[in-house]
Amino acid sequence: MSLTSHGYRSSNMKDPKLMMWIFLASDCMFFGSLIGTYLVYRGRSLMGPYPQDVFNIPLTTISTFVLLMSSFLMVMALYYLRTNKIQSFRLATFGVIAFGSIFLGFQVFEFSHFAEQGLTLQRNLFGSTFYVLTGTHGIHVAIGVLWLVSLLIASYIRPMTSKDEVYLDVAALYWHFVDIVWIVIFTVVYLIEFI
Amino acid sequence: MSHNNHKGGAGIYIITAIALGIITYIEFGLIQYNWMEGSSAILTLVALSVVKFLAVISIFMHLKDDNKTLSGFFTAGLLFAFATFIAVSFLFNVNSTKNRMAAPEIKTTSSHEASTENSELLVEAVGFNFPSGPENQSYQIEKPLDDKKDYSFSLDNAVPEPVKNEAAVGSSQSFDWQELGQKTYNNCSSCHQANGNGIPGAFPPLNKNMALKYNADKDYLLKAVVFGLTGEIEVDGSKYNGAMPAWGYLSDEEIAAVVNHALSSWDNPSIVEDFKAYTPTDVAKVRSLELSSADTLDQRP
Repeated sequence: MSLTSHGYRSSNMKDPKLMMWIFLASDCMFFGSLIGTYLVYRGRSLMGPYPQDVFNIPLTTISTFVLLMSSFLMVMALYYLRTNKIQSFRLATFGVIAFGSIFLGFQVFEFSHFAEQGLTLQRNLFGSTFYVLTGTHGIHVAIGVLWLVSLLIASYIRPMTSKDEVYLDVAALYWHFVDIVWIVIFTVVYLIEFI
Repeated sequence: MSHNNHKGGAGIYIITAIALGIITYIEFGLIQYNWMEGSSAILTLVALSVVKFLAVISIFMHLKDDNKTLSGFFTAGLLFAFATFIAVSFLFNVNSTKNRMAAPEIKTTSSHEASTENSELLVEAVGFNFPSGPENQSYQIEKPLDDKKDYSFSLDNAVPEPVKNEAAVGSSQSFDWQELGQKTYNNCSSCHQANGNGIPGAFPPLNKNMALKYNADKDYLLKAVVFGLTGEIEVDGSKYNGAMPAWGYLSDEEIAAVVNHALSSWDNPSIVEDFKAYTPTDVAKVRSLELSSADTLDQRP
C-alpha cells in the first residue's frame, strides 16, 4: 500500500491510527475549552430563555440513545469488515449513517425549537455558549456522516476487504470520539441542569 | 496484531451496547422521575457518564487491546483539556469574587470609613487581599478620628489617603463615581462596546444618543438601567428591537456611577446640557417607581 511505502511512515499499519489519536487528543482540548466556557458562563445569563425553559430531556435522551447505538453499529461494521462479511459491513455502515443523520435531525429540530422560544446565538450567554458547543459537536457528527458515506461509496467502487480495515478503523475512532463528547455534553449540559 | 484480540466475536460489543442503553435510561430516570436529588444525584450522573465514556473508549475504540502509546496520547489530551478547564474556571471565579467585593456601598458620611473603603477597593483592584489586621481595627477604636497627625505617622496606614479624606470631608454630598462607573461599565461593554457605539442593528449606541436622552428627560436613563427596556426603538435612523436587561440588582451607587461614566465619555459631554452627576439618591427615587421594561419604552422621550 502506498501509505506504507514512505520511509517516514515506516511499515507500521497503525500509523494512521496514531495520527487519529493525536488528533482526537487535540480535539479533547477543543471540546474541553468549549465545555469549560459553557460551565463558566452557566447561570450568568441576564435574561431568558434559560436552560430549564427550553431543554427537553426525553427528546435529548432519545437522540443520545440514537448516537450511542450508532457507535454500536460502527463497531459492528468494523467487525464485519475484519471478518470479510462485506454485505453486513455495508449494512452496518449504512445504519451508522442513518442514525447519525437522525441525531442531526434531532439537533436541527431542537435548535429551531429553541430559536422559536427566543433563544438565539446573540440572546444571552446561555445561547452563545450552548449553540457554539453543541453546534461544533453537530458539525463533527456531520463530518463523520460524510466520511462514512464516502467510505460506503468507495466500498462499491473498489470492493473492500479486511486489508482495508485501517481506513474504516480511523473513521470509527473519530465516530466514537464524537459519541463520547456527546456523553459528556448530555450529562454536563443537559442533565445536571435539572438537579 | 490487534486483529486476533477481536476475533473472539461481537458478543462483547452487544453487551456493551446494551449496558450503554441501560445506563442512559438510568440517567434519564434520575432526572425525569427524580430518583435521586442533590449532590448524590450529581455524583451518580458524573459516575455513570464516566462509565459510558470509558466503555466506549476501551471497548468500541479498542484502546484496552491497543498499543499503550495511543492511550498515552489520548490521556495527555484529556489531562490538558481538564487542566484548561480548571484554569479557566478558577480565573473566572477569582474575577467574579473581585467584582462582587468591589461593589461596596460608598460611604461619604465618615471620612475615615471612606478611606478604609478606598483602600479596600485599591487592594481588590490589585488582586491582593490582606487580612484586616488587628492593628487597623484597634486603631479605629483607640484613636479619635480627627487625630490626623498620629494617623499620618502610623506605619500600616502609610498610604496617601489623608489627602482624599479631606476632599471627602470638604463636600459631604460629593459622590466619587469615576472609578466605580468605569468598573461597572464592564457590564455594559459586551453589548454597547467599550467605545459606546454599540453594534449596528443589534445594540444601540450610547455615544451621543445617551446625551440627547439626558437632555430630554433627566429620569429616563436611570429608568432604562434599573428596569430595562423592551420593544422597538429607533436611534439615529436605525431600528433596534432587542431587550435591555433590567440592572436593578446593581446597587444605587453602581447605577448612578455607570450612567455618570457614560454621560461623561466619548462625544456625550459635548452634547449634554448642564450635566449634574446622578447620586445614589436619584437612583433610589427612580427605583421606587417600580416600572416594567415595557413602561420604560412608553416613557421614552
